[in-house]
Amino acid sequence: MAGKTMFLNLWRGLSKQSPLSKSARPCAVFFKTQPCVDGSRQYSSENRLVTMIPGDGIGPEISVAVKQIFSAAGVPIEWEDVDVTPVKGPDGLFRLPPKIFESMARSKVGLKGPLATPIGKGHQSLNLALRKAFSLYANVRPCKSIEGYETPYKNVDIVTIRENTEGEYSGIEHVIVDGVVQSIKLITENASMRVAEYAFKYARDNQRSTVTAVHKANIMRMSDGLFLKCCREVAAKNKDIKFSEMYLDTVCLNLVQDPGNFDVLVMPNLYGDILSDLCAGLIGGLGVTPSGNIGEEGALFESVHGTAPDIAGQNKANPTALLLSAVMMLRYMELNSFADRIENAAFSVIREGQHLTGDLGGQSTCSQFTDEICRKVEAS
Amino acid sequence: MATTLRTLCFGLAKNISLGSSTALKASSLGFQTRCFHQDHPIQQAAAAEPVSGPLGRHTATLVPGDGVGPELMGGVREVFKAAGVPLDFEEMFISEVSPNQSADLDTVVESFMRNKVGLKGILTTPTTFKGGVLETLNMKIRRKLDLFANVVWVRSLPGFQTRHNNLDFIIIREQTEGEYSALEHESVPGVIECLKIVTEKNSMRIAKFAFDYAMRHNRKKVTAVHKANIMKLGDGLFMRCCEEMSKLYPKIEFETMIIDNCCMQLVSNPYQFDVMVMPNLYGNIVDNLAAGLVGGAGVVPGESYSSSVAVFEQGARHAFAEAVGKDIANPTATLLASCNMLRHMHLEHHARIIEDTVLKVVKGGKIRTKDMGGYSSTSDYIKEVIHCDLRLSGPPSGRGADGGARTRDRRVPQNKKISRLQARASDLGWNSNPRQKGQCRYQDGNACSPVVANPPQIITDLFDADSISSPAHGLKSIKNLEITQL
Amino acid sequence: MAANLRSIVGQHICTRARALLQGSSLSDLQCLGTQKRTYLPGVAPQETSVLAKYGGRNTVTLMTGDGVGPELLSHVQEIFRYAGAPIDFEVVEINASTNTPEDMENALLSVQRNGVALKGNIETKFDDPSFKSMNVALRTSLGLFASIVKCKSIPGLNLRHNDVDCILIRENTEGEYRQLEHENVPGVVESLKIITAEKSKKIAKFAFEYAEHYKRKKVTAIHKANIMKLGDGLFLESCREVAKDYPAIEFNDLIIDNASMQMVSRPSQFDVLCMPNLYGNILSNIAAGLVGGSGVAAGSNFGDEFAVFESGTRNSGRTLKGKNIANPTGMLLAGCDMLDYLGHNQHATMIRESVMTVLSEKQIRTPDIGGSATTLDVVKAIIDDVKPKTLAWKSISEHGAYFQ
Repeated sequence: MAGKTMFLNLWRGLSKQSPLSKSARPCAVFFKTQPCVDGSRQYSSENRLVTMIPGDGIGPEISVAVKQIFSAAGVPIEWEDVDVTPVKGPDGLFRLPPKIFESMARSKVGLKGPLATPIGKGHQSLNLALRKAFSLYANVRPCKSIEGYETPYKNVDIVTIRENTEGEYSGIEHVIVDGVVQSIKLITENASMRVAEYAFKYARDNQRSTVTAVHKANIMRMSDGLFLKCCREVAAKNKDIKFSEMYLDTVCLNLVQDPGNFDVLVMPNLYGDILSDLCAGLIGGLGVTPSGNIGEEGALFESVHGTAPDIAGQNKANPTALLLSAVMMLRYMELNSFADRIENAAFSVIREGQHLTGDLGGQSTCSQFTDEICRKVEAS
Repeated sequence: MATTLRTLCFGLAKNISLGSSTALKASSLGFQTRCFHQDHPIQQAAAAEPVSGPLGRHTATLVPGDGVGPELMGGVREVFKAAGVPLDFEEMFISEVSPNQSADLDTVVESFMRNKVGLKGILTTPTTFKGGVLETLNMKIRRKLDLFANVVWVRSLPGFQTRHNNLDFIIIREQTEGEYSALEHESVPGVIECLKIVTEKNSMRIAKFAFDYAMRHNRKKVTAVHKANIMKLGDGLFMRCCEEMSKLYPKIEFETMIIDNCCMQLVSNPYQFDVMVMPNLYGNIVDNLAAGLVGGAGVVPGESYSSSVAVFEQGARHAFAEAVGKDIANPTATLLASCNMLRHMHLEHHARIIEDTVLKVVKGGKIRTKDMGGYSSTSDYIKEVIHCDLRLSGPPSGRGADGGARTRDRRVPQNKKISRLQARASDLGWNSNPRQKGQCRYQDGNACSPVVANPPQIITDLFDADSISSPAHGLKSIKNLEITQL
Repeated sequence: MAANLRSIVGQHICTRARALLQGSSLSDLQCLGTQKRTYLPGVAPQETSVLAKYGGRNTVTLMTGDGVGPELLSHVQEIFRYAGAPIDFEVVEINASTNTPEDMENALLSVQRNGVALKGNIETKFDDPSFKSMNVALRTSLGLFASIVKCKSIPGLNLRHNDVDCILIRENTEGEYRQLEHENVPGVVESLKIITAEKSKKIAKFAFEYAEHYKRKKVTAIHKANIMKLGDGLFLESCREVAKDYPAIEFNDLIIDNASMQMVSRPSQFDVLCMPNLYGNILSNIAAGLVGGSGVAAGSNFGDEFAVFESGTRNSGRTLKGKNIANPTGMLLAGCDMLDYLGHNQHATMIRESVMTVLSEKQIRTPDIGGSATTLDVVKAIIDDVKPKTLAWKSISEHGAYFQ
């Protein structure tokens, strides 16, 4: 097993050596910011820089756990921890520390724990700032049933890809007359094309067979109509992947009846927000769901669950979501062998059910769970 | 087929001690308008409704809709005929996909306005937009009739296993504004703006509706679903309105939930919900999601209200066009919606008979359509409903004294705590309205009250203890008056 | 006129919004913003923000009250059912024995939710000064400033006057009823009577609007301005001022003692009467006595948003309780007024006609109006009369013919 993955990795590493073969791939344009320019970063023997935002609440604990597992696996990654507590700027407003942007600009890849969102405090939202700075246009959430963690749904294996920059979350709202509010949902051709292309690329890279566009074009005929049109156009260029389109409500209906029918879903912002959480619910909640934001200038992987301040510092937290997000990150960095090893270890620990944290129905502490995964990783 | 249902009615009426001659006379009067054979007086008594109510026939508008709608409505008509429902349909076909046969929108709207009650199939909207009017036909009808509230009562069908059982919650959706404003334009090529409108007035109205509905059905909690963390103004306004309205209803718990979290909770722990209220698009999503939880679009009825019109339809709106003519569509949702319509029109007796029969057929499990995992056709199903004999084993749902005491399969998911609501959900069967548990807050015809109501009990609720203990005329004369139901 | 005004306000808002939306098709997004409410007396506001009306059915608060209230209200419900009136009742048990602030609060909230209530009278224990009258509390906190008692002779009753047809409109929130009383020195009690121009004008306007809407000819103001020159003088002055806006309606005024005398001697001269609180109480009881006693007259209370319907005279009928002899007419007619208020005019007319048929043609009457029938007999007779009428109807429509 180990030998095989090593071999695979070697093979992949070899194939990656040639920048030519890379740019020849159809969707390589999305990797233009990938380290193809700086050839030295492609050698897996050299450590690559990753920005780590531990976050609040249980964030520090689970990021330590992830680091521990990574070092056990010998992943060639160098972490750069960044604190994102807002600092007071010269103009008196609280801003994000510039260090986070510098670090992300260097590393292009980030891993983020949960952040407490102070509601209505008036400072910049980190997600929003990073999304803008690195144009993180697609949010990807693979939801796969975890063996050993029972939910009413089995065999869920869905990837939701959500347009992340526009749609209902354009933030353009105003009061027309007293008591009448108008919010604008914005759909552009550029953004729709971009996310549709990414969806097909993702499907191909991850051996997926079908991409389903989720829309509500029967009601929002123009805006969702445009999104749908873009998806159709991209689908016509990618005949190797099956394409289908479905109404949002139909998807909801069928998802909870038979989630096995779905593969990759691509959709505008709000629908994606809703459906990605829904899919997370199918497999047991945000505590086990990884998430990644893919952009033109970099990528940010994160755990999307809350900060759980009530159990912070008590060694009870479940690091699975952040770990799986980190695994997604490894795949994104094309360190697939490490990704597979860590993922297998984590899943087998959960499957065996001996060392589970409280939220998964076990008794163990975070460190026991982490140690067990480390042991498996080292053994593999 | 009519015979079976009639004998069924007889069986019911026998239980109801309506022996007095006044009752018989009065009943036979009403019977003339609604039965088939008038030669057997005993059957006349049987088919007459044992509840107090007007004698006249009612009229309702019927819009069969696209897809399998016409087939299903045919089934409803057949069942109504067999049950002797004193209702005439004013049928008009309207459709966006086949505009040639379609009736005029104004005619349809006028008919709904006049009859105030209607049964509607699903109207398909073509996805491709070729310019012109942005509003869909569905939206136009809703706007014209001002059907601002959509209610989907999600209940698990007894005996039909799904992943989550014993569900019982209500989804209320604003359906005149929000994303469905049909205000879209292309500001520069390749950039389309779609306006979402939220108004205080409509938000207040739906919030009030939700709380009123909760009060009326003895619910304990209302959850407002929103996305006010992102759409701070629009959804913020909606949330604020709900909050404000909740102050008028101190007995009902109020909470808010963000839509994405709500969807997640729905699939992982749907038992926590009671009544949910939300803007248009979220309602569309949650309706369908919840319909999926209890068995799909074919089994969940829905209803839409304006202040003066009520339209009954399927809970999840799918025309199921691929099944046209194949005789495989599931008529459960349409039949249950029609029962709700009868109940709304004060025809509880008929509503109850039909609903019980439908539930019994579902529970029996022999006759199920394809989407429920069976092999029966739509017409088999309808036939079974018409011929099903309630007398043999008694109705599947609790009635009167035995209300709620039915045994049901309870599959509680492992690793899950049984919440209070869940426990309540399992206690609540269909029809076992809290009213039967002695609360008796709403005395009206619309609540599901038992056919065999217990007169002394209900009167206790209304009269003081004094008046009960001085029964010079008391209960006996009240019985003569057929006050079996108040 | 008022409806006109409403649509003008609505149009104005719509055009403004439309201009802002740059010509988007907003025409169907009706009811933008908040509209100024203009009331028509005796007609419910059509905004659902006030009423709990959905799918054509109204939810109405039913306050049971004391004495015969619960019995009579149950009969009203029963008859409504047979008439197919689209009314659902939310029953709030409130009576003199459940006098906690919480109960009161619940009852008030219920009326605020539903907008309309049908109410049995709640007894007031006058021997206990700490006991605040719940009826008064209800009126003040719901802002029910106008109380109406309709007194109309029922044909066929053997009474002294058969031509009474008057509407007594009474200011309901101030005057002597402000409950401002104190003992200055032992043995001297002052009771304050409050009259304000604002409320006097409001009630006068209400009376004239009412007269106009129901095509009445004359409004009479009742006062005692010869003695209480300032207080009742202000009331009278306000009425006179408002009267100028309604030239089509005759206006005169009468002093309360004279009015009482005229009422029993020549009641036919009265049409619409408008008066302050206490005089209203006295005169409405006199008028009710003329048409057959407390069981026959129907009463209603209106505020800007809410309406409460009750029997015309506020007696709970404790002595009749449980004896099955109380007269259901007053409560039923109040119920019909409520149906009218909610726009279910056909049902109201149908029940009202049946009541009249039973009382005057079939002569089934309770003892208080000279009959020997029990309450249930009367109710049963009314139901029997209502039932066949519903046979004739095809559908209930607002613009179509009701009977075919």
